[in-house]
Amino acid sequence: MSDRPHDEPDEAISFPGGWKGLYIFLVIYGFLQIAILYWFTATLNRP
Amino acid sequence: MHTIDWLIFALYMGGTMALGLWASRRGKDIDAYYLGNRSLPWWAVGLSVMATQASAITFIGTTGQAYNDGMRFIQIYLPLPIVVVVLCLTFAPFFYRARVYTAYEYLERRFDTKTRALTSFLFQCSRGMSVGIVLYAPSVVLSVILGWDETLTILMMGVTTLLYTTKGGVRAVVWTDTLQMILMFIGVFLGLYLVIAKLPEGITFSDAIYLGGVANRWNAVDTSLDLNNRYTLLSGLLGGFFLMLSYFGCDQSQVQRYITASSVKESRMSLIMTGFLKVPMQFFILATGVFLFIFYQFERPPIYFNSAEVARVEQSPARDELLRRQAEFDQAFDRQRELSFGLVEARRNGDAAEADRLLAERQAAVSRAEQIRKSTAELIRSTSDTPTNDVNYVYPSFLLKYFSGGILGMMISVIFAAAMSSIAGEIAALSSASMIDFYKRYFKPEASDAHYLRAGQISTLFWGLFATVAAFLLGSRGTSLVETVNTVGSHFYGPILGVFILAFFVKRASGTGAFISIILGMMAVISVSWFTKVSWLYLNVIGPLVVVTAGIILSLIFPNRPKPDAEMKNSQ
Repeated sequence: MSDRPHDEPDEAISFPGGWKGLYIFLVIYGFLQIAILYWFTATLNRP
Repeated sequence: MHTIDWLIFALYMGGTMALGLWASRRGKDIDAYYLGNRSLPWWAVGLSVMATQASAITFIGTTGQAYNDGMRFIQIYLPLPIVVVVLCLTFAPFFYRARVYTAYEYLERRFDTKTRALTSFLFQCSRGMSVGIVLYAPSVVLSVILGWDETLTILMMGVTTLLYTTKGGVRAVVWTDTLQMILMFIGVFLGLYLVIAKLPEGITFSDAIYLGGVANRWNAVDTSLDLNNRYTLLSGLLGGFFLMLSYFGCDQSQVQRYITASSVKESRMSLIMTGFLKVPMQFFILATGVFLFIFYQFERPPIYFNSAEVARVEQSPARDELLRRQAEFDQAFDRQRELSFGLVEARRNGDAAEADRLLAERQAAVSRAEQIRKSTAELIRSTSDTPTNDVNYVYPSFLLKYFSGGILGMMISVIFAAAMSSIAGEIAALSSASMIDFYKRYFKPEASDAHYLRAGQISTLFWGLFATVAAFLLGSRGTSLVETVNTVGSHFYGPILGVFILAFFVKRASGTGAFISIILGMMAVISVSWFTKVSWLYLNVIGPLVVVTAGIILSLIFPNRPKPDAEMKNSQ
């Protein structure tokens, strides 16, 4: 067994840009969630 | 509960048991029992990952927390999509390709036996405690709803879950989790719809949103930099990142799920699914709690949601004081309700001046009612031998009072599904850690598949019984159950994550260095927790920081010795 995780080729995935594209999409999705919740709070919360 | 509610509940319990036993029919060795023969589809694994994480506490505690405190708890989940990317790039393929049964098994290959044993032991302490609370939570629901004895409920929950988990291992857990998670999704949306549908006539969705806003309940993001403030964007992004990384990356109850997938690709897909769905799901659960708060602006809430405690005080010398406060509360609430209707009307008519006046008056009335509620809670606590609160009673008591005809049975089933999926997942993980990391490693390294399977089932049974005893012992703790679980977990999560970071990313890290640094990390976390008021979320940052720093320094003092080949073989 190797101690390193990237010693085998990645299996293909049918997503634009492959795995890299999916990961970038997920990161954008994460930041988008923060932005939406920030907007949500700023707009609806008025104590 | 009506007959139809009981029927639905019985259908759920029977269906889950049948599915669990059906999934148990295949596989008669330890690979099948702990890894499901690595043949499970990603969507089932993904739902299982989510179901294990979402316990009954998620439904009962989180809605109660949002009722009192708003949406801000969601901030700890915000780093999850980024955490999932880290997991997909490192932890998931690494564990999968290492073909380990437990996450901690790898630590022996990378470091030494003592580091593996200590980390696995810490995991078992942490999960062993939390599984008790997870089992206790639904007993709270039934104690309120059915008037059942909590002991009986704990036993019923524990025994049912234990039956299919012991017999079928991880395969039974994943397939029952799948059913339970689907039920939970239905429950989340049904629950939200039910609360909104119960808003009084004349109060629109827009009015409800407005009232939630003026009560500071839509506080999903808090940009304060105060380290003592429990839930802020900073504590969520920083502490939440390490908490999620540790939980999904190093906690056997999660790792065991995604190493059951049929390939690394499927394993990653299951995590990505969680990354996409978790925050929206938490959002809707918290929103249910906020709408519940808005509903109780118009419908008089109990002065204290734990009716059993109220009934106890009514039989005590504090009865007259309780009745006096109840009368004051009723009066304050009536005024608050009247002003709430007036405020909504003024806002609708576009009368800004009148709305401002009513808003100020209403805030005073709300504060008055809240003050009476708090002082009553204090009165109840002062007459109780054990700590008590009513956060976890808010949602179940609403369901009981306003619903029947099948809906109540459905929602009770959802809460049970949430509880059972977490209990099963955690018991299976605890069983694999004690069995693989201790029994197989130290006591019986060479034995037949049948022997290990039998030992695995006994180990599962042991942890189920342990969880039941822990439920009795830990259940009496009085803070919100959500926070109890997370606070207890936070003492262990950080140091465990730290040792995996050392293993994955610090090439020169040595076994002795890692071992001592875990102990130092634990001491640091406990010291900060005991002697400061820093939010518990930051404990998840302090733990890995101390472990990694100490690990790097100590590895220079105690460098690695080359491992003999025989030792490498024994570690497997």
